Amino acid sequence: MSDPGRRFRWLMWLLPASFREDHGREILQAWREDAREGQHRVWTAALLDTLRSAPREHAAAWMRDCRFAARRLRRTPGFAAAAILTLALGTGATASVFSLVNGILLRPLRWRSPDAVGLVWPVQPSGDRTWVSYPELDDLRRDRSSLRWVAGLTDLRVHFADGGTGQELQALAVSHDLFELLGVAPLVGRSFLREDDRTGAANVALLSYDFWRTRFGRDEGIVGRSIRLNDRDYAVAGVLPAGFSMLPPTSVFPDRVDVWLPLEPHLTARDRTIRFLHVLARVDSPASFAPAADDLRAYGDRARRDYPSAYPGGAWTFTIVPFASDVLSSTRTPLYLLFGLVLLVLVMACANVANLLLARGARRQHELAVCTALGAGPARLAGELLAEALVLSICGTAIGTAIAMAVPPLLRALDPGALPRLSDVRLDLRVAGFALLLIGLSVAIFAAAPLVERLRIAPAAAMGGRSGGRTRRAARVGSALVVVQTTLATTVIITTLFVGESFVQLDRAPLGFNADHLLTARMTLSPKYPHGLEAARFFDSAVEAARQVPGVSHAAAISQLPLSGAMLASTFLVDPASSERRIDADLRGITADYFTVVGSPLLEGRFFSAQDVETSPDVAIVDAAFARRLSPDRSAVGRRIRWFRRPDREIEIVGVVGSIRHRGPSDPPRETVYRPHRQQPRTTMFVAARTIGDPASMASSVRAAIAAIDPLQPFADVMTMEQRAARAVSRARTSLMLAGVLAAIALALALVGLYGVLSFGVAQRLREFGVRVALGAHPRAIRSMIVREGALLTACGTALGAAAAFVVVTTIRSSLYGTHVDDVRQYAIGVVLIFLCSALAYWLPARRASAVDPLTSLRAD
Amino acid sequence: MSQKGRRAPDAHLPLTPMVLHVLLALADGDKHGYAIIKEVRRRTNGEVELGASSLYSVLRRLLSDGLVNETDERPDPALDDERRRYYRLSRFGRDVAIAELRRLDSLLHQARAKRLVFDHQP
Repeated sequence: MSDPGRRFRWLMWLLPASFREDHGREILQAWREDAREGQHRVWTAALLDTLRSAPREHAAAWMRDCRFAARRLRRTPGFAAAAILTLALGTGATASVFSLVNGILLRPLRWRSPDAVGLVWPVQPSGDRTWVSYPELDDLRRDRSSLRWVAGLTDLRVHFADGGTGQELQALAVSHDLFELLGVAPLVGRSFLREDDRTGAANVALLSYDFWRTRFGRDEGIVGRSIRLNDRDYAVAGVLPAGFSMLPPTSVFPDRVDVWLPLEPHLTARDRTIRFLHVLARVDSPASFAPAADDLRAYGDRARRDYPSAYPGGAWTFTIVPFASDVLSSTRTPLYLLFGLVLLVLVMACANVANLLLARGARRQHELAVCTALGAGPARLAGELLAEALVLSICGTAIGTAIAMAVPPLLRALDPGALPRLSDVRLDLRVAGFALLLIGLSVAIFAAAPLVERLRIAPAAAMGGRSGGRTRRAARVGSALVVVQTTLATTVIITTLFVGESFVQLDRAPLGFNADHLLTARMTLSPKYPHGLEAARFFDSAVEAARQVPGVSHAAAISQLPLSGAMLASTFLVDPASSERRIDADLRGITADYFTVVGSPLLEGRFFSAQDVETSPDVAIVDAAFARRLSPDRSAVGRRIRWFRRPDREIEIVGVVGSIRHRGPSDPPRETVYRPHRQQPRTTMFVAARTIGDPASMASSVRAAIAAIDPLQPFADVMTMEQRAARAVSRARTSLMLAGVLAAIALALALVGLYGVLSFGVAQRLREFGVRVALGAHPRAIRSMIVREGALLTACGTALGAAAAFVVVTTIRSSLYGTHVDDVRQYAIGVVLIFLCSALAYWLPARRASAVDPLTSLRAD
Repeated sequence: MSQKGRRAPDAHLPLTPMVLHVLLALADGDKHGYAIIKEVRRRTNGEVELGASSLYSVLRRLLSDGLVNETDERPDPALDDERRRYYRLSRFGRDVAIAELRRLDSLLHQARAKRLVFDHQP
C-alpha cells in the first residue's frame, strides 16, 4: 500500500512552490495528526481545502514575485530598458499590423450577415467581368431563384444648389430594397419604398450621416424638408447611420457617398447592351453561393439564347462572388505578407531579450547558486525568472500597444485612401486579446532558453567556478539565437527589397503623358445646361477662360481624365459595314488642345482642331493599342469605325496617339477612342490646365476665371496631376513604407542581438584571451578569431535567410511588379547589408578582446 | 513589517471570520498550527473546520502584515515536537482583534436596540 503522506504531497503540488517550501512540512504534519486522531473524511476535507486556497495563494505568489522582479529590474535600469524597448518595438509593430488586419480583413462589414452578400457580374468571352445592364437587373429581380434579394446601384454626380453657390455631390442611385438587403435601417426618417423607385415618382433622397452632419448640423427636422438637386426639389426621406458606408466594389465606384436616390427615376439607359450597374445580391448563407452561381449560369444561357445580339461572341456567362472577400482581395496579400514579416520581427525581438536574459543569468549565476544552496528549489528560481519575464513583457507590450494605437490615426492623417476601411481600424476586444496573447507568446519564446539554463544550475560548480563563467551550453544557445536572428533579418530585408524594387518600377512606369505642372478639376454642370451643345459650349468657354489666366500656358477638357477613376467602357464596330467585328474600348470626349496639354505624342495623322464640331464629319483619334487591335500591319488613319450605339454613322480615324495608362501605372493601357467633345458632349468633364509655376497655387485663379462665366457651376475634385499619380500608387506605397519600417527594425534588432552576444562572449572569455596574449598570441590573431566566429554565424544565418526569402518572394510573386523572384541583385544587396551590419557588431568586441591586458584579466580571477 | 510602515488597526477591518478565529486562538498563548486547528474546532464545537492549507494561507498573510509573529520560545521539550513552528499574537495583532471585536459589539448593541436580538436568546 502506498504511503498516504506521499499521496497528500501530490495534492500539495496544487499549491505554489514558495508556499510549499515555507509551510508544506507543517501542513503535511497537521494533516497526518488529523488522520491519526481519526477525523472523518480527511481526504475530502483536504482536497476541498487545497482547492479553495490554491488560487488565492497562486495569485498572491505571482503578485509577490512580480513585485520582487520589478524591484530587481529597477536595480539594473540599463538591462530593463534594453529588454523593454526591444519588446516594445516587436510587440508594437506586431500589434499595429494586427490592428490593420483586424480592422480591414477580420472585422465584418456593418451589415446584417455580410458574408451572405455577393456581387453579380456578367463575364465576357474574354474572361473579363463587366457591369450589369438595367434589363438584366430587371430579369434577376424577377427571377431570383436562389438569390434572396437583388439590388442595383449606379453612381452619379448631382448639382446641389446651396444658397448662392453650387456644390457637386456624390450620389448613388440604388434599388429601393438595397437597405433591406444590407439590413441597414435609417438613423432618422424612413428608407426608400417601392413607390419611390418608379419612373415619375415624387423625388426623394436619403442623406449620408457625414453630409447631414457637415451641411445640416445633425438637424433632425431636415426629414420631410426639400433640398435642391439638379435644379429639382427632393424631399429628404431620412438619414443613414454613422458607421454605414458602401465599400467601393471597383475602382470606378466613389469612395464616399453624400446622397442616396432611388434607381428607377435616375436611370440613364435601359438598353441591354449598356452595362453600368453594380449588382448586389443576398443568398441564404455563405454556403449558398455555389447553387446561386449555378442558377446565374443558367440565367446567362437563357439570356444569350433570347437576346443573341446583346451577347456578341457567344460565350458570355453570369457569376456571383462573395462581396467582402472579392473587394478586399487586392489588400489581403500585402497585409498578410506584412503580418508574416512582423511576426518574424517579433521572434527576433524575443530572441534578443532571451540573449539578454541568458547573459544576465550568467552574471547572476553565483548569486543563484547561493540561493539554491540555501534551499530555494528550482521551481522557485524558475518562478522568479518567469515573473521577471512577465514584468518585462507586460511593460514592453503596454508600450507596444500604445504605439499600435497611434499607427492607424497616423496612417489616416498621412493618406486616408492608403488602405480601404482605414476608418474601421481601432482598438477593440480582439486587438486587446491579441496583445494579451503577445504577452504570453513573447514570454514563452524568450524565457524558454534562459529557463532551461537556470534549471540546470549546479550550485557547487557555480559557486566554485571563477567569476560566473558562461557555460559552453549557454554559449551554444546564444550562437543559435544569433543564427535565428540573422536568418530572420535576411528574410525580412530581402523580401522588403523586392517589394521596394516593385514600387520603384511602379513609380517609374511610363503613364503615357506628362504629369508635371498640370492642374485638374471636375465640373458637373447643373441641368441649366441640358445634355448637348450648351454643355459643350460652356466647356469651350471654361477652357478659354482658364487659358487666359496668367501663368497658364495651355488648357483643355476631357470627359474621363486619366487616374481620376472615371471611365466609359464601350464597343466599336469595325469596317466594312457588313462586318460583325467589334473592339471593346474606352470612349473619351476631349477639347482640341487636350494632347498638347497632357503632353501625349502624336504617332500618325493629326490632332483635333476647332473645325471638328457637331456639324462637320464624325472623326476620332485612337491610341496605339486600338490601332494595333484594328490591324497590326496597316495604318489606322483613314479607316472607318462605328460606335455600337449609333451604328448608322461612320467615324473616320484621323490620328493615332500614344497609349495612356488611364487606370494607374500597374494596369496595362486599355484601347481608347477619343472624340471631339462637340461630337460627343458630356455634362461632366475634367478641366486640365498646364501651368508655368506650381499648379496647386493656380487653383483659385483658374476657379475664379471659370466662375466669372457662371458662378453656380461647381469646380470639384481639384488636384494636381502629380497628386492623382501619387494617389494611384498610394496603397503600394503604404505597404512599402510599412515593410520598410519593419526591415529597419529587423536590421536594428539583428545588429543589437549580434553585438550583444559577441560582446558578452568576449567579456566571458577575457581570461582566455589574457592567457593567449601572455603565451605570445598577436592581438591581430585574437581579433581575427572573433571576427571569424562572428562571420561564421552570419554566413549560416544569411544562407538560411536567403533561402527563406526565396520561398516568401515566390509566394507573393503575383503582387510584384517589374521584378522577378530570381533577381539575384536583391539577394546580393540583402546579404551584403547584413554582412556590413554584422561586421560593425563584431568589430567592437573584437577590438576589446585584442586590447586585453593579460595581467589585469588574470588578476581579476 | 516595521511599526512605522504599519497601518492603523482599523485599516485591517473588517476581518474575515477565519482570521478572527485564528487571532482568538492565539489570544491566550503561543500555539503551533495544528493546535490552532484543534482550538478552533473545540471552541466552535466542530462548526468551524479550519483546513491546514487555509490555516497556513491565513497565517502567511498575518505574518506578513505583522499581526502574528513566529516565536522561538518553546514549551517543555518533553511535550514538544522540534519540527513544529510556534506562532504568537503580536501587540498590533491584539489591537486589531480588539478593534474588530468592538466593531462587532457595537453592531450587536444596535441590533439589541432594535430588538432584533435579546441578551439571552434561547
